[in-house]
Amino acid sequence: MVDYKKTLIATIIIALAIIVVIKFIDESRLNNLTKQVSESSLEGESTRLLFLYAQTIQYEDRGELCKVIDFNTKRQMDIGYKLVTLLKIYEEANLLSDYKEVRKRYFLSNVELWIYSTQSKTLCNQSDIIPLIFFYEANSNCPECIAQGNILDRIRGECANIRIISLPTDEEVDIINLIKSRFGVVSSPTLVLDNKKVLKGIQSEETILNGVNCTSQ
Amino acid sequence: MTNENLSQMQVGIGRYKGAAIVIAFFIFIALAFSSTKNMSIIYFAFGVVTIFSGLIYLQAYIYESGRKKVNLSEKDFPSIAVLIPNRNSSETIEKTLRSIVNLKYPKPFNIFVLDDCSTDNCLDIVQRFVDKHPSIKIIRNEKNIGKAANINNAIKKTDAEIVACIDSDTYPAEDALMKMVPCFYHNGKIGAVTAFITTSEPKNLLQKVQELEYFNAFGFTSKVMSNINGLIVTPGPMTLFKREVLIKIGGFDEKNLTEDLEIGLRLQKNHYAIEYCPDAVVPTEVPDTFKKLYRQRERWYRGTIFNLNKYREMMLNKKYENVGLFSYPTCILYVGFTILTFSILSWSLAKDMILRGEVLLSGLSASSGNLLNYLNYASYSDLASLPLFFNSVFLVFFGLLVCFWIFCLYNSMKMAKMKLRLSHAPAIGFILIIYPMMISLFYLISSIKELCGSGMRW
Repeated sequence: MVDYKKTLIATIIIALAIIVVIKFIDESRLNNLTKQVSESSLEGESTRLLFLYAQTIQYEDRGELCKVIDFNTKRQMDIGYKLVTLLKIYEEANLLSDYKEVRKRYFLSNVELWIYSTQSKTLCNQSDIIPLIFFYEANSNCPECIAQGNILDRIRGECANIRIISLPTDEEVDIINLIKSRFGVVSSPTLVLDNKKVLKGIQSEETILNGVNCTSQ
Repeated sequence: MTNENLSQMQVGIGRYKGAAIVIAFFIFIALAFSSTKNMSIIYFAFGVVTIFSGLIYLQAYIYESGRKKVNLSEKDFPSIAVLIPNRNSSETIEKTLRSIVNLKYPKPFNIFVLDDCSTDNCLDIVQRFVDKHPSIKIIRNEKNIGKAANINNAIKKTDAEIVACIDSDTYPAEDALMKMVPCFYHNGKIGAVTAFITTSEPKNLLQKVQELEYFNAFGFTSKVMSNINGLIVTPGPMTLFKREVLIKIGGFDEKNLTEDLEIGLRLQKNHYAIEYCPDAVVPTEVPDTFKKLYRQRERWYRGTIFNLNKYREMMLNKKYENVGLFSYPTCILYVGFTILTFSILSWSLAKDMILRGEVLLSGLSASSGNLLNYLNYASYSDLASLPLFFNSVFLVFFGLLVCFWIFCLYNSMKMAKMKLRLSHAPAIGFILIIYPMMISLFYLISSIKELCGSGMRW
């Protein structure tokens, strides 16, 4: 016959088991993401050492070193670029895991890339490198940011010398706040071109590339 | 079933009560949809209740009530009368009557065609049968009074022990009566016996989808429910009733949209069991266009809500055993879940569309007239709306539901002695994805209409 009490107990047990499964799924996603962000950080660490090392040797002998730095930075940027969508999807689907740490690591990794791009210009005399900071809203839907992102994707494909780095405007990370106040960034989307020109609001491809050298190598 | 005007039918569950439910529902939606996390919590709650129902279902499946295979000798078979409520059925009545005169039964039985003011030529067809078979009689009405009233009048005109109510678009197999009547002699105080309703010669995709739907609903599900006397509906296409039981509980409700559900609930309320005979296969006609399907379903779903409200005292009431503790709450759960899922999916899709629209507009302002660029800028390949499906709760929950549904379908097709063929694939694809959305939409519209007590024409 049908036993309602026993069924209730069985249901509770199954429900708990499902919670365990859900926790497992969420944790494995978080671990996957953390691993990829760590990979990116590791690249950054080796690049950091390269920069320090570069400062100990003569400018004339830095050629080989600068090639390695360039290669590493590009690789780190590619990893970071792939992670941005993954981070958003996983976080939105997340229930039981904590994404605070991996988010912060990811943003710091981006700051790192910006600093390397800036330093490469002076240390390696790579004057054609143009860092472009794209300030966007990470925690809410910003249609203009999405459209701007699409425009920047095209530029990324065409111009290898323009290094596009995304930073959030709505996160509490000290160094990001300092960068924001340095360039007077208050809204999103905002673009900071070559650490000089600040463009507020959504910009077309033509406006961004105006007066800027775009090399496809 | 057709009716000319609505004023005969009772609809709505009370203006204030209905309005309160609709408002509460929309507040609930606004809170629930504010984030994926909230939606997950709601679905988890539903999931837990569904698991509970599933386990009860499993026990019912395993438990075969002490059904003895009764061997009735020919003289033990009770007297029977067949009632066919009829209105404008010229397309189907001939096939119906042919099936019914071919029904095997050890005793002679009368066939009453209850004509409810037909305006087409179906009565000419019936008359041809009457000329050949004197056991067929036509009972005509002066006014259009509806199926329930017709049956109520007819059961007073016969003294048969059992009445078989068969719709005028139903073609029972010739051994249907032979298989169904012995079920009255199983354990318990049985008031009605139902059959395995299937679709007759499904032609287009919509009908093939309904074929699968009927297999699940009137095949496997009914069998499992009947194991624990959990049936609450006596399907209109063909059901057998004990005549004196019908009279004792007051006959059919003449003002009800779905009198078959109502009489089922009333039988259970009066502690009569409803038995199910899986061997009696009864094909019936199903709608072949979306419009016809909608009208049928609006009547079904509005009737369901009305009757669920009418018999609300059965909810979680031990007095009604498995109907009160299981069938009735599960019915409400099903209605609520269907409407909720549809609302959530529509909301998510709508939000996604709106966001895409905004991205499109932003891209426009930055594209400086270049159409190719504009299309590029407006592309929004972000999978932001997918987290709803990506979310662990949804994956687990819907995964379980699909497995359960396939389990039911497999068993249903086994019961119907049909093999799953490749030709079923499009119907299965449709029924797993698009059909539920459609049915949920029908449910949502029907519920709102019913709760607001709006008029209905069909």
